[in-house]
Amino acid sequence: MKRVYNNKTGTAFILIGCICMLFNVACTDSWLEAKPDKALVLPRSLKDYQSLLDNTAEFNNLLTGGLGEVGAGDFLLSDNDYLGLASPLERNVYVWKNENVYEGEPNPEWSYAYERILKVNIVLEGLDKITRTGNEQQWDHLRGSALFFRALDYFNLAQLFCQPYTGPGAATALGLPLRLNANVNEKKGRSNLDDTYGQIISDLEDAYNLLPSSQDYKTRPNKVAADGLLARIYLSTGNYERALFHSNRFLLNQEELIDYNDLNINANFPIAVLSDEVVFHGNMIMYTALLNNRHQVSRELFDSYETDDLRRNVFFASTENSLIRFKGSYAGSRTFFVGIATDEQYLIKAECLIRQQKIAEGLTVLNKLLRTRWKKGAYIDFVTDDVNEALHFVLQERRKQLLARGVRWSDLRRLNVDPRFEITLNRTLSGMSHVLSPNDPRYVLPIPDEEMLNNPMEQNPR
Amino acid sequence: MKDYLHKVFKLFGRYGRIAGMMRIWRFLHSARSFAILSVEMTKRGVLTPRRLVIGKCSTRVQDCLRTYSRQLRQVFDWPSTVLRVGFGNSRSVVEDRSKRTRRVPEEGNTQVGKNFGSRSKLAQIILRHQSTYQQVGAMVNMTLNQGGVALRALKPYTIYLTALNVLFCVCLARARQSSSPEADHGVAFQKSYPITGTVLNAADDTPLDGATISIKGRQNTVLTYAEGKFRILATDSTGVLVISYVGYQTAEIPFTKSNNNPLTIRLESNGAQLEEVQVSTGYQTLPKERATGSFATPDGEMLNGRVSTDVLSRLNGITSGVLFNREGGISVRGQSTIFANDQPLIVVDNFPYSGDITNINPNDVENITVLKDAAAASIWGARAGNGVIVITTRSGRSKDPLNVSVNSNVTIGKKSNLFYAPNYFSSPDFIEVERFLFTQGKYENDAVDQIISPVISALKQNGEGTLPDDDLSLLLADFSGRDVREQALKHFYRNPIMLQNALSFRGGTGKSTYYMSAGYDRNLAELMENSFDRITINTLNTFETFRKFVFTVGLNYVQTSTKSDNTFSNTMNLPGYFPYTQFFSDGKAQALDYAYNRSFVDDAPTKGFLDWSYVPLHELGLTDNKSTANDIRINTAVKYTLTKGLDVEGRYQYQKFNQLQRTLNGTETYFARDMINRFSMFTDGTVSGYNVPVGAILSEGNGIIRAHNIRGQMTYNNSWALHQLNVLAGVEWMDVSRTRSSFVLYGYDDDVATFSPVNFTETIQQNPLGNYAYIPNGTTVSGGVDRFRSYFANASYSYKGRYILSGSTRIDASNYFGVTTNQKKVPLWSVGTKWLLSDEPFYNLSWLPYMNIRLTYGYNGNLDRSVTGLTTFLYRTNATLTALPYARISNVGNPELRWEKIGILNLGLDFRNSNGRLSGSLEYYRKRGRDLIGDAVFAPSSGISLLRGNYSNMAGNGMDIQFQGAIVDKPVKWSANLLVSYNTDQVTRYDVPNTNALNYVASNNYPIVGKPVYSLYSYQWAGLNPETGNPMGYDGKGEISEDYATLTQQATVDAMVYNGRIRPPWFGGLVNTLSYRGLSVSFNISFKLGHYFRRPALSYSQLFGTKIIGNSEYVDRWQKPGDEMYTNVPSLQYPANAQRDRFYQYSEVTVEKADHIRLQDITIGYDLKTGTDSNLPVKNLRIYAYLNNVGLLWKANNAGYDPDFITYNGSVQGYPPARTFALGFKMDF
Repeated sequence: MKRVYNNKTGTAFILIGCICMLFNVACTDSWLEAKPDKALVLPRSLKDYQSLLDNTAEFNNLLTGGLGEVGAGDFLLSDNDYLGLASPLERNVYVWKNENVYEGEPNPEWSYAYERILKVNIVLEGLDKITRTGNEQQWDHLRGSALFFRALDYFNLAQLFCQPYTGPGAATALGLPLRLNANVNEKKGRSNLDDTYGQIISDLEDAYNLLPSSQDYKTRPNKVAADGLLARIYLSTGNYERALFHSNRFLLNQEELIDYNDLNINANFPIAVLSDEVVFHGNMIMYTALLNNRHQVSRELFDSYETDDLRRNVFFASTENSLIRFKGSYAGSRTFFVGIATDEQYLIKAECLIRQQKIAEGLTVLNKLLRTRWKKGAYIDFVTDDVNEALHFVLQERRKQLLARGVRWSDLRRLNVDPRFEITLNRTLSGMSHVLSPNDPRYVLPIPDEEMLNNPMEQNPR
Repeated sequence: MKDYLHKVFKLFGRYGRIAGMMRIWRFLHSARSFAILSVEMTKRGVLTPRRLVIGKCSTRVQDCLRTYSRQLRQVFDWPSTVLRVGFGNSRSVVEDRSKRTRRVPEEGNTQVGKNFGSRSKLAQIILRHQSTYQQVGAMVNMTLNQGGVALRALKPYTIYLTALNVLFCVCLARARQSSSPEADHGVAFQKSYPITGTVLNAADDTPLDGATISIKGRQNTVLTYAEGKFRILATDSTGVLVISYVGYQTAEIPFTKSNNNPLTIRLESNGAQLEEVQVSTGYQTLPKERATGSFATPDGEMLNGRVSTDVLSRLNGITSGVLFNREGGISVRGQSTIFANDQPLIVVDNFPYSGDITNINPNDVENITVLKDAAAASIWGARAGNGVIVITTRSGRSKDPLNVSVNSNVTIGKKSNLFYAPNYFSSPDFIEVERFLFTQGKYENDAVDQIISPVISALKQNGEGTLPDDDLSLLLADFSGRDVREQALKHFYRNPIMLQNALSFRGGTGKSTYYMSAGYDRNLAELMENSFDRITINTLNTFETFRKFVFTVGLNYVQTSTKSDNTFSNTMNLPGYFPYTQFFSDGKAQALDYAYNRSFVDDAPTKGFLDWSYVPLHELGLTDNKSTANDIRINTAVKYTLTKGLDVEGRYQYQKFNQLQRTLNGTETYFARDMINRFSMFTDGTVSGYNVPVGAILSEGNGIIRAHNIRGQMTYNNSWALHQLNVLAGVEWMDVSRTRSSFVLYGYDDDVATFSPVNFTETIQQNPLGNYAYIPNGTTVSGGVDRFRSYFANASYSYKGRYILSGSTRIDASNYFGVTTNQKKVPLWSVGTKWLLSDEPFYNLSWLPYMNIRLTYGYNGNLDRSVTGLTTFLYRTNATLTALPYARISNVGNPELRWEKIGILNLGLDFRNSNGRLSGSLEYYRKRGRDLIGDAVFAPSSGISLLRGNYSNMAGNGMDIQFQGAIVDKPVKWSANLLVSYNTDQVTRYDVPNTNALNYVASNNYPIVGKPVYSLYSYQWAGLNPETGNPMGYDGKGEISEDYATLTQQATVDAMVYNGRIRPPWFGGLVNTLSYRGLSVSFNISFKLGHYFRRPALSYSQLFGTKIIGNSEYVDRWQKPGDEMYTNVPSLQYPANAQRDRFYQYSEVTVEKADHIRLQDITIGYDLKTGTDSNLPVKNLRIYAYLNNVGLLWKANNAGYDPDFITYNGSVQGYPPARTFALGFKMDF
């Protein structure tokens, strides 16, 4: 009996052993490595990182610049529409409020830009872990794109949150918190303005070297776009020589302009998205104050377009109660375009040439652009040998062509430095008048409340 | 026992030594008869003790005993199960393995068979005198004479053998003696005669083992044995038998000596059934008496008495510690996590359920067990943190004849009370606000997407002079009198009807059991064109085959079909929906403004567009929107008994859940017309072509879940003398894969199933706004898999049945992303003990004969599927502008991620009074949640605003109290079941600094250390400014302020008021059952106490917003100085100041107490007992009526809100469910 008992126990153990072995064979640890969601990946390949940058809703949309347009004075609001603005941020920026601009609300310009910067940094760190050998081209393009995006965001942020970069004094002026790695735990304080611009320029120079001369999609940056951005940056810092160099190199590769005569001026949005003039596509963050059922284009600006100037009809729609609405976005919709396009480079090149006293050369460039903006045959080339006159003309055309392109705020900051071009902005709302005088500290937005709370840093003076 | 044996041996020793061999032989001769007698009596069941323990014995003794038992078996042709001999380490055991054995006689004590459970009335046996032997002799003679048992010669085995039999007889004799006073004096044996009979449960004729039988006025008591049979000796010629059984009404049956037929006695339940409750953990089923953990088992009768389509809702109010939250979802003993999944794991037939739990047919459910503490739930490891609900479906019963059961009912409901919302903003007020806004110039804009109400357009006409003032006031008066709710009730609502039919067959033979059922449900919802159909088919068969294999095969099939029509809900959210809207007037269905203004829509057909108007009543039922689901579950199990007590079991379950969602929008639907129109090519003022072809639009989505569960487990159950051991260990795998796909077809023709391709790759300019957009491309494919590999073990050891020790452990490994292998495996464990206090010799509370104490501690786990340790991307298709696949970051990596752990300490007490009419339990528990997933706030410049990780801890404690009692027993019976639960929790660690007060008042996602997870906070209120009617508050420094920016945004947490909990700390239910003969009425009162809610408040920014959103308190607003005495509603301010509104909305004056008592339901049943005597083919027939959602009995707030149907932050959550009335019957054949 005892023996039988033991035999049974033995059988039991053998059986159990067999079952266990069977299960263990069937289930190695790779079984547990299955993805909980097919769409979820641990980024490993260049394709993964490319896909992250191909998220056009994040990288070609919600770009910084919208608050500049709200404050810049091209788009005005009726008293009622102003009061109807839900966001205190918009209301306060519109009247250049002195204090408590955010009222505790987040500033999307800041948040979205830094979100992108984190993603770019994740891409850059990821690339460091992938060997370049064998994939040199794709690896380079990816790194170039990442650096381009980072530079774009830092530059756009600097236009809102830092004072204008005016050379020597910049070493002591406040810059941006420069995040160059993907460690979210790291707390970064503000760099100085010199470092900020230094980083932007060096990122872009690197990007230029790495990027291909053309990409399949206009949502991905290429060499030309890098040149375009560099030209815009140098212009904003008053470095007209470098700006000329880059706009020149840009135009050597891409000089095509749309002839506005070919556009259907009756269309709701006559200029299609990703048009021939667009080199890199980007939309800015849109605010209620900028939407075309709210805003009114300033009458003075509208009147500056002459009758034969096609932009009068391509850019503007007149509603029945004769309010002027903007409809000429290069994004082909109500959203404002803030990407890189050829027309801007013509204007940069022209301005730089004129500033370098090459007036005729500059005006040739400008006239070439304007011919495509006017009714066929109606445009008479602008000719002068007076630098001031030429400069005023090119700056006036710059404002007219680059309306709602996210550059006006930056231009105002740049131009106010020169007493010749100083502009005082005025608003009258419900009988109250608001004034923004040249070089006012309010040209620099305060660092958002959220940031100050969780990562205290030196605040911009107001 | 040792003493006992000593005495016997001494006895023998004396005879042996002193009287010599002859005397021993004589002794043996008589002893031989004892042996046979004792066994015979055991066979008849008179003798209840089934085990006798002999102290240390040598191998020789063991051999003897073995041989003896074999002999006995041969002689009497008994199966080995009746009598076996087993050996422990140093002990020998002779035992009868009848299931009724509860506990073994004690060692070191002369008590034998004392209190075999509380039901046993076997008296104590105390061997005090040596005269015992003589008494035994007398007894034996009597029995021999009477029973006429044939004696067979037995070989003179050994003296030890005999000793064993002597022991039996001694026990027996003493038992008889002590229970019968006559026996004490050795008289009156001749006069006695036996009464035999059977005791059955009156409800279903199942035999009741262990019922107590006594003769009134006498002390002798016997218990029923197998199949409810009993035999008792009576002496008087007539008398009354008293039959009692816990949970049943005591019966008194007269008897006479002349009637010697066996009696059949049926006991009626007393409503508070205390039958041995079985609890199921999903791994094992064990009697609640033996479990150390905390289990809630809702009463089966109450569970089945309710009428509902789904099973879970039936738990509401009748399950201890289980709360149905107003925000939806269930909490078991409150909150155990902050952000991770807080819903209990639902287990159906041993495995986690992967489909839609509402598909389980309640008629197929046998019982439900809720596992509440660590000892109960930690066997489920990393998913047990929120408790586990174990649902066991029906199966056949061995040796039951075929039972056919039919249950059929119909439920009719009232329409929802659309007039419920006390904050409803009525037409006159709405018009008043519109007129005000009109004078403020709000409607000057005439953009195509600016919707103008009929009132505004009348005002405009009046302003332009085309509508005279008189006509205008007539018109406005007309509009003021209209109420859209009346029309909605008339045109969109109907009385809901629900039909439920279920048929089941169950039964079993000795070797197999079977259960088969079919159910059909049809629900017509109150919103027209919405319905639900369900067919369920279930089978479960077990059969025992060669050797000791037991196979189980079950198949469950559920098919549901849901038809939905969203016309009304869509319409309600339109900008063109006003309180005075009429869906039907002037004899025709009216159009509503959908997205574009009326003049544009009216003009659209002239431009070549399809009709662009939206007529809700035409839309109703136009869209063919149907969801069908199939759920197939196959259960198989093989069990093999390797050796006594050791079973190996393999289980496998396959479940496939398939859901197909199909929406066909015909050309005539607004959806299709709008889509076609928006993407039409519009040139030179006319439509010149179509990008979306004219035709129907079909969208389909198909989701499949496939779940495999495999489990191998070994169980070992054995007992030695005073010890009982149950061990369970095993390993299991779970693999749940999900796939989903969907597509959209344009220009679809359902007759011939053709469609036209459209251009998804380019943006197209949309009409009439002119923005560019893609044609919506509904093609998606997604999928994923959850995998778990778990090792588990569970053991319980019981000593004397009085002390129980249990422990369990489980290791889970899963494929949750990025967690390193090391961190994937987390052992979760528990230990528990139980002490049957009432069994101790010193326990002498005769009025409370049963009491035990339980203490358990352990850890359960939880996880948040949304976080992973490494940075992960989530792929999406079709990026804007490029149509490329793209990725976004789904998780910013957090390498320190761990599983949440919830430590639970549970202290429980169970008791029962002597007649079983009152019983209950008290439980106290403490919970400590560690490593809980919480947020940490990051500066925006880091690129993220929040990061989730194991940043938090919380603590909680509470009580579950349960009383069951039969308050009145005769002739009208009243029994009650009271459940009271108390639960509190508080966050003990949360790293996010307390920031903006707005976060705390407007949301419950911002925990504060020291406060409950779900807390209500408010701004401190300082009244209305008597001059301006502006709300005033206290800033952080205690100063009264009207600086709303500071009050609402910069206010620190300290400046806020903590109002209390959002979830009730006290909740429970009281079920009362009144019955008289076959008629019974039960009603369920539930209560929730001690919590708060915020009522909706007026916001001028919403009132003056794009769409007017008002609140009836608008009329109570401050209008002139002095009003502040009567109202807290601030004065009107235009333009609105959102911060001022926010301050008032979230101030403490809008907080209300949520305490309430509700009469949930009433069940009236009539049981027509036909029994076996009747000629009817029906065994049982029950006719019942059920009234559900009866209503609130009491509420603490005066604001008119039902606290269960309003969210914590002040938005009304639909309407309280309307009353329903069900009528049905249940028949058993």
